[in-house]
Amino acid sequence: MGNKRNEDLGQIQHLREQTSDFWRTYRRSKLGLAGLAMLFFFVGIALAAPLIAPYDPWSRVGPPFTPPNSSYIFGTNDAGMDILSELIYGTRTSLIVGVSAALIVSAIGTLVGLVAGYFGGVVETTLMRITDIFLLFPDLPFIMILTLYLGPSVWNIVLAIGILWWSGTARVIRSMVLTIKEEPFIEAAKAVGAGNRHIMLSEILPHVFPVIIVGVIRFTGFGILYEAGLSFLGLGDPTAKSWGTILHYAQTRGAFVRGLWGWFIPPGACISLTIISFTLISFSLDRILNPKMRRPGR
Amino acid sequence: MPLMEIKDLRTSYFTPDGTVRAIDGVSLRLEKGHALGLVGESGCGKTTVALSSLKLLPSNARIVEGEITLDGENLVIKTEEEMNKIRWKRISLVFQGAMNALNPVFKVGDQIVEAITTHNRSIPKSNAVERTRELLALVGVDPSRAQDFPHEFSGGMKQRAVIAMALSCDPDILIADEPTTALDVITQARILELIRDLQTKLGLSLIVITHDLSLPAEICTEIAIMYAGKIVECGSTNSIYSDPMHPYTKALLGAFPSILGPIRRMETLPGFPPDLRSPSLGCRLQPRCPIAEDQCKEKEPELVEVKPGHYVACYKA
Amino acid sequence: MDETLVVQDLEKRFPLSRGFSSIFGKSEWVHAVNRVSFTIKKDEILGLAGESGCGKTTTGRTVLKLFEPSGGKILFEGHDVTNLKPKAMKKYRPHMQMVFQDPYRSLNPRQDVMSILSLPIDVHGLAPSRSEKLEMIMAALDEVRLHPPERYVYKYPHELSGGERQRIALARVLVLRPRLIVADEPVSMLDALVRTTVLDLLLELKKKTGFACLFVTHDLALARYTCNRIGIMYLGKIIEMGSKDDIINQPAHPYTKALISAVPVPNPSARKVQIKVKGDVPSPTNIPPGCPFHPRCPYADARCRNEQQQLVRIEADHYVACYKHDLI
Repeated sequence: MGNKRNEDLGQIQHLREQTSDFWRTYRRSKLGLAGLAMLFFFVGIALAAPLIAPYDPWSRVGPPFTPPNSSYIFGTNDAGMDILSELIYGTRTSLIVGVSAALIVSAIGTLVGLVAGYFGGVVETTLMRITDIFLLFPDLPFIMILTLYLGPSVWNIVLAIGILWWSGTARVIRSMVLTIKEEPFIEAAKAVGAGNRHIMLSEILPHVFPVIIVGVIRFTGFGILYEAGLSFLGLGDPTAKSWGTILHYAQTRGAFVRGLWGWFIPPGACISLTIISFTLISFSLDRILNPKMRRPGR
Repeated sequence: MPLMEIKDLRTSYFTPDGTVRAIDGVSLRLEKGHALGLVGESGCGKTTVALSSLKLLPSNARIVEGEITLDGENLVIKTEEEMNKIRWKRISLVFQGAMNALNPVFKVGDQIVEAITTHNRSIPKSNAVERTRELLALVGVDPSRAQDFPHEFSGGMKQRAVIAMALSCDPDILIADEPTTALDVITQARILELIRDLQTKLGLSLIVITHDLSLPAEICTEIAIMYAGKIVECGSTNSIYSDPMHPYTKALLGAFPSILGPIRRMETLPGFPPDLRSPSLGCRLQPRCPIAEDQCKEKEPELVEVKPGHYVACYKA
Repeated sequence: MDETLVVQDLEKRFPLSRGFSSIFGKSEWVHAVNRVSFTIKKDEILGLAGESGCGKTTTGRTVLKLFEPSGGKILFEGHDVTNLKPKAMKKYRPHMQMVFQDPYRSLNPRQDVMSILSLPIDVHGLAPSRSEKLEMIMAALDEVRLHPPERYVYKYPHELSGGERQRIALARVLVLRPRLIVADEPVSMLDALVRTTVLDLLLELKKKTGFACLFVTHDLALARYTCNRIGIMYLGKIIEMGSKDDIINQPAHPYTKALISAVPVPNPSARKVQIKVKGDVPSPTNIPPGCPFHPRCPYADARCRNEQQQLVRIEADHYVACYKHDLI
């Protein structure tokens, strides 16, 4: 029993040291901190949505097409719903879609890249050809057909992004695996007797993990942008509250001609800020976690 | 007067984790026509000595104190422009791993020509090409191989090509940093032979930097042993090998098994070199030294001439 | 079982270009290991020495089935493991292990010492419980003299010196108590004084736990210090083999003589006779016919150019592949 405690203590202490080292390095990047702050801001809003939204965004709470005033900070839309409340709840949708899409993309891409890169030969060639096919898929037509077929829904967008984008990740992971595979410690693991599954999961995966993490963050940003764009085009769920949907209605119901800046500027700003925050974080993380890949001659 | 003299040199690297005092008071002399071997394990500062001499230190390093004189002139205070007249033309460097730094997409001959024309902008290209052929022949490479790419050269040939490049402007001093480390034994012997030949033919003065204490016996006239940024012993080759006095020198000599003579037990010192960010006040070897005493902990021993021409930094020598 | 490892006519070929020529069935081969035979007795250290490209490293790996042999036989303690598939090899693996050359790359930089040393234990199911595993790891660290073991368990390779890393690599192997260790230049990338520590540790542990060792090195002086017997390799073949005294003091093959005469000696007054050897080692894709050394040999004649030399016994345990050995 005493042994276990010592061992856990040692491990915990080491983890603590590593975390504080990491945080110290991250802190040095002002842009990274800015991105992190923005992220916390939006996540906070998403989590606290029911508490901070002044009104229920699905209900008509005031006269439609109201410009920003003291009761409705950004005004109301064509159905009399408070835009600020819509925005607040929209944060949830955007973040969930972004993260889900990023996770699916990374999961499929990593699996394919890992297996293809490690086994080589026929397996690799087959998987890479499939990857190439998916790479060449035309995005927009595919999503349109998918949503037409499956019905408009936010989750279809997530599915679509997952199907379209995993191929890029697969390629990157595969080429990393090809390099790592040749490292002496892989040969050492084989000499000890480790099997393929162990080597892929315990020896190679930890190496690509930092790249995956950075990828997840970056893809979350793209996912949010994509969802916004698709919803804007009307391919999303018209009843969902997402920044893209808000913009969709803003555009189709004439916010621009009426000069209702409260309707179309805030959603655009939210989209931009979120993406910037994810980009900044992924950029700073990348510099910390993957220094060799970024700076030549370091 | 010695051709090159280093007096009490101190060079530090400024890193986010602290200032590393890589060289902390090193003094050396190189007489004309002599070959000085600078020996030590990795991290002792020997490469930093070479880089300091040519003022080729990276941006986060600086010579903090001391003098480096070439024919009486102090190089430390020279400007970059003045140094450009010295580098390659008076002092040249074959740096560690140079043979692998040959650009793989250019022909070997072209790279030597480039070295020549970079340091002599007025030379017409045809002269440089002719000189390249001369140089290759000088180092024992068939001049027609100038048309080949580095990957077509063997390891030994690449090292010869790199030496040729370093000699292209007829320097007085050649500094060779680990010139034979990546080479096979037979190739190594031939490169050492080449260096000996060149010394005689060209009247070259040499500084050979190595971690292998068997090497200087083949080509050096003097040897200086470095440890933790300081010189611990120096003297003529014969004197150092026949009568090593510093405990570190003895340990280093004992760490290389010989192919001749009886099989002795290999020597070692427990522990590892000190952290050069916070070196101690006393002798740097003291924590590991088998014969250390109290005075060794308190004050660093100076280099003292214990025998004519043979200096040791140890209270017990 | 007196002979831990018996290798007979071992061959390893690598195909070269996979370009268009291979479509037409014409691929070039690198004969890295070209019919090599030797035996290692229990508790014996056999050195395999030679310059780069001679095939010693490939031999070491092929013997452990890290490369599949292209021909010949490998007998481990009498069992023929030559053609065993990875699954069948698994049960032999704990007994046949390797220590690699590069301490900076043979440990996974993303794994701490605990994970690295857990690998052999987990793969072969040596510890039924977590606390037993920890005990084994602590004992292994103690054995390679990394004191105190607790301090090292959660460190990552980049926090360790070269010597410490190589000791971890040793611990990883010793945890399995192998009966054969292939050491591939185990100290060539370490500093001088550290080399001694690691080498002495290896020899001491051999005395304590007992294993046969194939010691691959380019450093003849080191081979002399460490090994009982030495085999000299050139372009994929063993050209001389004998006890260390035979090889170092009475080399018979011109290449061995040249090799020994080229080793620098830390004694400026030592008189060495340098045997001159022409040219460079040819590429292993272009092995000369006949005796592979003939283009560079000062004594080569027509017979050398045309006839492959076999290892011939010249003394009790001394073999050489040169018919001129007693003429020079």
